[in-house]
Amino acid sequence: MCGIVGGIDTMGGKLRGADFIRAIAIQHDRGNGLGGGFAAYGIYPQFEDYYAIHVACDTEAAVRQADDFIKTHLYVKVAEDMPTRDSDVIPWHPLLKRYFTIPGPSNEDLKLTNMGPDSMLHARAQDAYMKKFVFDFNKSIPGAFVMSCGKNMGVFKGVGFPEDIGRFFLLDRMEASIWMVHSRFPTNTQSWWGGAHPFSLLEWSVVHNGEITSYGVNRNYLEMFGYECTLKTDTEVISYLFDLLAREGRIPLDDVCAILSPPLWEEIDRLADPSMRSRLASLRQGYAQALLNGPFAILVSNGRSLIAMNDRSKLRPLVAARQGSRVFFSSEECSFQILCPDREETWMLKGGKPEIVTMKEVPGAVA
Amino acid sequence: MPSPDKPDLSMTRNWKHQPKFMPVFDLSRCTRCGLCARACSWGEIRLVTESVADGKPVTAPAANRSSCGACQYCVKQCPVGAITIVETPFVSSHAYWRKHEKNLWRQADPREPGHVLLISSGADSDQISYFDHLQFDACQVTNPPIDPLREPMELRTFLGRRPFGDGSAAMDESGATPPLLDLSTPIMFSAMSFGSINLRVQVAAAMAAGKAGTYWNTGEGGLHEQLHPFRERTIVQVASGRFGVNPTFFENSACVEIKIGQGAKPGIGGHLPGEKVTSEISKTRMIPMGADALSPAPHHDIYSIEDLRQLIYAIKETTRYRKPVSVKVSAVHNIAPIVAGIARAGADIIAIDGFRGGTGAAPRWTRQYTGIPIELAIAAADRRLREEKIRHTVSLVAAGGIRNSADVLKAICLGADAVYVGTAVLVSLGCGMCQRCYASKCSYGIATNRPDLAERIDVEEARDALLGLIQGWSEEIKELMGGMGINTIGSLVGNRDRLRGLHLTGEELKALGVKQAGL
Repeated sequence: MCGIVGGIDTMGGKLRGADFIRAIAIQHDRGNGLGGGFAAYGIYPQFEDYYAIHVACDTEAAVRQADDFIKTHLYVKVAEDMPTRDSDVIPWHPLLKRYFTIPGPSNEDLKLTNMGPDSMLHARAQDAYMKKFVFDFNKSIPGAFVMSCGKNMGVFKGVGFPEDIGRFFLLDRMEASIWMVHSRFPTNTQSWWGGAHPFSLLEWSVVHNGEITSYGVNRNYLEMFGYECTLKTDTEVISYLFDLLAREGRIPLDDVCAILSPPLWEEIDRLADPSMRSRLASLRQGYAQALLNGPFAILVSNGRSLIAMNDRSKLRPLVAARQGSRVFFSSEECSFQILCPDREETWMLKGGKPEIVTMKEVPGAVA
Repeated sequence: MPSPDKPDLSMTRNWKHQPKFMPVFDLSRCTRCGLCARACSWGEIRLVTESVADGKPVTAPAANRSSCGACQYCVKQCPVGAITIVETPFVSSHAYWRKHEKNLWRQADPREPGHVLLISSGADSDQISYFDHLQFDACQVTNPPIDPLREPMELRTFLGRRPFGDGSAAMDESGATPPLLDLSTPIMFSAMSFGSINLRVQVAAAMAAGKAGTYWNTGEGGLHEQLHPFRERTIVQVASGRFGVNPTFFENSACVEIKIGQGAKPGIGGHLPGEKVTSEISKTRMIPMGADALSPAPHHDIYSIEDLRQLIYAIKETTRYRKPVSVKVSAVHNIAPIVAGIARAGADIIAIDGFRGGTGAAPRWTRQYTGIPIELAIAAADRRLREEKIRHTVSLVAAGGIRNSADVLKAICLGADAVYVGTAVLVSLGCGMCQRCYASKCSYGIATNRPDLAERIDVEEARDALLGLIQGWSEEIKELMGGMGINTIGSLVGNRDRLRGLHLTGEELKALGVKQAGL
């Protein structure tokens, strides 16, 4: 059992972190204090062209190694300690660092080349570089891991109840256009800061309640495309699958959802539209190894869309609500009393039928 | 000349082959109906006159001690359960030679000097069965098991080159989809040729495959025209003898399989003796009646991988790229790179046949000691295809010694997309595993084309028996999957996380890619 909450303002308006802290706190019993975390989008507008890298290090030695590694492979605009607040209820925390970076060696001239209109490293190549950087980092520096590395977004997570983690990271003072929150009750792996949700790669983040019984197959598939599953948990495959299919494969989001949680064959066979039938059949045949099995409720975002999805048998709770231009998702309806007390609509997601909520306009968005 | 006072005690002239088994008759139950003697096609049971009643002789069965192979047909036929097959004691003082003495005597027999010991079926030796050392996972608390009677449970499986399998994850805009086999359940009937079995059995398999939504395989003996109506469910086989390969053969199939090797006899060809080549078999195989049907050990146009590629594409051209092409190979030591090579040569499906796979006839020691278990071969092939980043472009079929639905699912967890079953098909039709298919005397009427024996197969009944096998196994697979919290079979293909090993060495676990139970 875990608890998840998410929200988006489709007009690009800001949602308050304080509300999301209260919205997850009210689901306190869904977690057991062994993991809580937040993903927030649109939070670094002053550095929106820079990859924001959130790093957690167990020791000072790991910090030094991490710092060296980052500065060897990336141009660093800003390096700083993550702002945190002393907390009685977080007994221990790793050393937390934040970097705003650009792919490429730490050379100012190269950096200018990369950033210019004739950029040698266009956006996709930059993403590919960053992805490799993160996998190399997580593999080669013991006691350190990258929490998130997307632009204008960040993941804040750790071992503790999410409301405590949120206050620890000062998120009660933060506003974001999209929030995703997770309260963890771990059942598969031991709790560690890297094992808390959200899981994030580049612009994609995931919070997940459930268990991926197809993990072995999904991992095998992802490894063929160069992904390395190092975080000892089933959820990371979801963020990698979105990265592979949606970002790298440029597959439309509704098709990605149809790959990950497809209709049953008997539903596909009954479809009247032959082109729809053959498209869904081909997606299932071609991407059988990307299908997510087992019970799950997930929220996924790339900063422009918020996707909510259940497993095909709906074995985990997930409800939705709309209030004006804002859409919220939660494991339990009680969170909506805080997030959207005046909501116009509340509905239950159906098994295997995703909701994809996309921003109508994204201020300052890079396409 | 021998005489009563000077008997001929020569070993070679007097020695009689003592079969390992014999029927024992409970004469207190026996009704003297004589059915057993007519049922036994091996000449083991004779009828002995006991008395005369109403002017007619009353006969009781007796064992000839000449030819019992424990096929158990008489046991199953006896209406009063009066027959038991017993293993006859063979006393040898030497433990090391005990199993081999009879074979040596047989090869020394002057009536058949220097012959190769032939045997049928799959290896019966006591090498480890890895299937028996693997345990499935199940859900408890954190994850609900699924009840297949209440919830959807999908066994549907596609075999062939996948759409979008080009290595990128990009959608194919052309809209063209590659040809795929569409199975309702991941179990197919393995290759058994017309000649090794009779037409009735092939018709029954074809009918059952159609009803069950799966496929049957012609084996290398061509495709009899009676089987043309089942073309949607037929895999035709092109082997080194090229028997019966013609345009009609291709037209009446759903898939073409190139047979490179067979698990029971890797590196060995086939030989159907001329006396078995009846007129129907001669027509189907396109060879003269009475001529030996010889399959060479290699395909004489395939001496390396690039030649295989040419044959694959010759068949694809012939079938206008509308049918997937499968390549069947024996599980041998180097199976992983062989499979990767076949995938890159353009095969859409690769079937791997483990050393337990059956045969109509093979040299005894080839059958027993050549090749490796399918569990290790499929795991190695799946791993290698993943390492080469091409696993998703090709389907793997596991064959050779799959005895039950748990074996099916274990093979799938180790990396197979589907399995072939052959021996299990025969056993479903009654076969008692006497391992003498080569003799063409099969009392069940399966592995014989003698009309008086073949008519023992009732096609409809045989069809229903095979359908029962597929349906029963499929239900069992659904229960196992439900317990693991998985509702589509694709989520188990290569999912070794759902297996654990018992009583295996670290190296064995590594080869299988499975963790030790408790870890």
